[in-house]
Amino acid sequence: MLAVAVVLIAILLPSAGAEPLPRYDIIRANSPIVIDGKLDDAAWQQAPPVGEFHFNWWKEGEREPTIAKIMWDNDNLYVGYFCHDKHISAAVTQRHGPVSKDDCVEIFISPNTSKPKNYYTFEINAIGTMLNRCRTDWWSGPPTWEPEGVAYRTSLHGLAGKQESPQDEHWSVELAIPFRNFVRDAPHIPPQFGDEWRLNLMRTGGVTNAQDSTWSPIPPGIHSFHTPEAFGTVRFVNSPVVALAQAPERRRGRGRPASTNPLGRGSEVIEAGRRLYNSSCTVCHGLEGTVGDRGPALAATRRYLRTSDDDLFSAIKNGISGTLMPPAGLPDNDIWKIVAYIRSLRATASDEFVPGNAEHGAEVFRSKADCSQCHMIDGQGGLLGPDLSNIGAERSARDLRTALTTPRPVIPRGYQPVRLTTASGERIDGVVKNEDNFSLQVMDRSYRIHLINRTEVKTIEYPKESLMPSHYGQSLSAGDLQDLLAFLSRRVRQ
Amino acid sequence: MRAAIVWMASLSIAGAQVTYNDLLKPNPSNWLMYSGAYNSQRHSELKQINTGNVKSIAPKWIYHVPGATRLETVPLVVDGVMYISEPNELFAIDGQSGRLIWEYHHEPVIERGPNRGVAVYGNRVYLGTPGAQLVALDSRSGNLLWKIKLAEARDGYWCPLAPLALKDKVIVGIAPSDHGLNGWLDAYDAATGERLWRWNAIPKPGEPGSETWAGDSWKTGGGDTWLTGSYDPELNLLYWGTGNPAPDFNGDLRNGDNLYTDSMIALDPDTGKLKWHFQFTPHDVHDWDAVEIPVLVDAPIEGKMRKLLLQANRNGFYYVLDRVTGQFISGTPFVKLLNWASALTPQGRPVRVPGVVPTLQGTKTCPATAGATNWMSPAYSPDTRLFYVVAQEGCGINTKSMDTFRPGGFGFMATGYIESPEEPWQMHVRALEAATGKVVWDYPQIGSKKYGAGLLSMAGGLLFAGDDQGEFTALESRTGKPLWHFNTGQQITASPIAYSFRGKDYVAIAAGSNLVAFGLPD
Repeated sequence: MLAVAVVLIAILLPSAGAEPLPRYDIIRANSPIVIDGKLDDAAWQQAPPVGEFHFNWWKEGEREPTIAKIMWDNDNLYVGYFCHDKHISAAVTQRHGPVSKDDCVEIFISPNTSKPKNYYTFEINAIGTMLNRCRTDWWSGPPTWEPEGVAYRTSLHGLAGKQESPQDEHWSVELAIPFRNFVRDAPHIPPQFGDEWRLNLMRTGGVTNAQDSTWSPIPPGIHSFHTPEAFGTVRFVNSPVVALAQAPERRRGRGRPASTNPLGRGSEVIEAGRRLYNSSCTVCHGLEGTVGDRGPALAATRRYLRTSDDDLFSAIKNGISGTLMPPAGLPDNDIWKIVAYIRSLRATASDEFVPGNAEHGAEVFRSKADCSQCHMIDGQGGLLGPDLSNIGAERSARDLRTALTTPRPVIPRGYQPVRLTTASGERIDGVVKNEDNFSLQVMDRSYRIHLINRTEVKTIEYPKESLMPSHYGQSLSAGDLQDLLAFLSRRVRQ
Repeated sequence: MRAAIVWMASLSIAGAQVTYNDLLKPNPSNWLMYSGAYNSQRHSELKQINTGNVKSIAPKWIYHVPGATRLETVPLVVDGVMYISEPNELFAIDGQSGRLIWEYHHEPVIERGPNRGVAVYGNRVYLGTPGAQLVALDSRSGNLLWKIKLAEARDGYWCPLAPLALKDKVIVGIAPSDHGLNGWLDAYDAATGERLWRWNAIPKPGEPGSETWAGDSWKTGGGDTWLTGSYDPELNLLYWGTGNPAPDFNGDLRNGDNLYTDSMIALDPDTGKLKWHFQFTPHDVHDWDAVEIPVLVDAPIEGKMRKLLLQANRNGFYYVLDRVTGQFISGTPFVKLLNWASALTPQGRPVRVPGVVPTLQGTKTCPATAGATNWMSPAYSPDTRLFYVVAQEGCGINTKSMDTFRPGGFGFMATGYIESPEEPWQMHVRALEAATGKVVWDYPQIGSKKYGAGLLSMAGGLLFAGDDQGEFTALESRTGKPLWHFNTGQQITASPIAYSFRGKDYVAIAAGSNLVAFGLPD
């Protein structure tokens, strides 16, 4: 028996030519993660996905992607799953039931790299039923195991059963596993910076198109998730941190290349890049990238927004031949920081880390601040102001704050207030959508469109003040304002 | 991952809404749907512009659509506001001055054209996209209210047609058959975008009509629904033409009639259930979609008033059907060049001329695949009782090959056609006696050989037509005599409309990259 096991391990060990086992740096969360099944906490934005899942046993059918992220703090290991899934089915509701027959995610954790076969399992189906096992050399209890204090929710929680429906698109899981559950095996509780563990993330597919997939690939010939030899390696690191050789982060916003900056784009990286930039680039490109003298103003043109991170890096490292742009002569890490800073010059709010409670911000938006009186989001709200459904991808957080707290010197086109009377005695109070010497197109405060010839206008007045209030710095508490900003910064139309 | 937000505030919203009653009896000042009215007669009751003064009409304004090359949009007009569509784009224009009120640019942008128009209902405008989405916009601000996926764009589906709004529903079809993609007709809740029903154009095994497909050929059978249909509210029947079977030019692997391709279908708009069908070209091998606009007319046949459905079909015949039952009444060629069928049987089935099928070497086929007519709209005048159609006289050399279906939006046509060198293509405007199809007058559009420009009938005795030379022309609707023309400078591939605002009547048409509105001098 022992001999057989040794042979098996020999086969399973990655050899030259086989896919190397993946590695992932687990970033420490610097803001709270609320376990609600939604991966919308600010902290998650700092964590890159673990990378693509492997369909080790694929024969046919759609390979639906899984996005998984892992984070940690002093108390917990956090795992977030976002599963694209056109056929979501889950039936098992009994604790420790056979959840892997359903649409299900699984996490197998081995906290000690010298004992990879000591591992703990967490299997959760789409309706939030969990199964746990403790597969260690010291466990002598029943086949199932009761971990302490695990908090978890799926995006479908509360349903007694989930049948497939044509509306199915995706589901998600969020869980927090207290480190104290691993005290028998882990070298340190909580982990220290640089500690490495082994683990694998898996997914099963329910009834229709039941594809099994894993983060760390499982070698050919084996059809089991219980293959600790094939677990990937994770390392606990601080945030924000150098996380080399990870999958490019999926960026939101539009028309921009994916970030390939190995330093990420955390606020500390950007701040370090700003200092480097202002000490070496300003002679040509101006302070804060705003006023170009010999080189272009990097913040002023969209061209740099569409340049990839790698191209920016190359231009700084090697210079641009035929121009005044010289090689920087800086260490690569410093160049990456400058890239992060240049990128941040035109970043929109959704790309930035905007702290705050977005859900409470939504409440502020429609009640205290009464923004929905004039602004629409996702089909609800007023029409006098711009639709804000995508504002997080259109404006920077700084611009959003300015708009809420500072009077506008110039009212943008399409929103100029107007009060006019016509020769027939009609009084119209609204905003000018368009005008020229001969006609005006006005939306009144009841959202009716008026098409007016100048010849019919008896009196006309253009109030200088925008309908957009600028008092939110005073009328809202600092916390409410920050929450409102957090809410707005996350408005990105998918 | 966006947090779901529950909105408590309900705002009282005023403003002109388009109701179902408005659509049932459109005010002639407005142009509220693709073909002007549910009967699709494209006949305007406006009389300010008439045979006596049409010679003095002139452009009142031009709206240039940035980046457009060949607009096919039929604009809608609601209380002076005009909606002009392009693929991924919609512009709301002041119909009096031509000035922009708002514009909408859809993302993600998938480059594929054309777009032929929109539907309006309540305070919403509905636009189909090249990415096979249906979007609802607030008609006053252009704000995106919702968007839904009609079909998988990566499979090759897209939505070029103007949806049709009725009874709190939005009816919309899909394209294209030519990729071997099966068509359907859908109804969506006008308020929420929830799908209410889908009628599949190609029956699955076991369903009625499935026996008309050999083997698995139904799986890539085509039958799309890429042009807007008509509706009879009294009969509560929705009429829609269906596209060609796939592969277009090789029928060897799809023996049978291939229902419900190349057909007129009548559906119950409340359930999506098929009430009747009539197939114009069974087992088509010439790509003769039957999506041409069905025109609903009540007229006497052999002394008895009948509820008719009229269609000038791409295959060269003008069909008169009973729209209550789908019964074939008559069919008459409306082009001279027609060599593929010698007659129609009493049931309306074509009697094929042997040998007029695509071959490896090529076979002369009349009309050409481009069609005796196509998407350009016909018109009907209740005053003259004439059916007006844009006809193409011409033949093609049709060839066939072997082709295999590839998923992912590739063509599945098994080759195609070229213009026959023996006689040049020539466009005509023709007036047919509605009940019989007899040609009453013929207006050749000299120099014009490409189709695309449709027709508008007006109560002032006028018929407006465009052509590929850029001419926009007013014909006397009784005689076909040209009374006025204006060269727009660009090829016209759209159909004209009429509207009125503050007592002034306008005729408008998209020409190339511009929308031009004409009226009498102030």
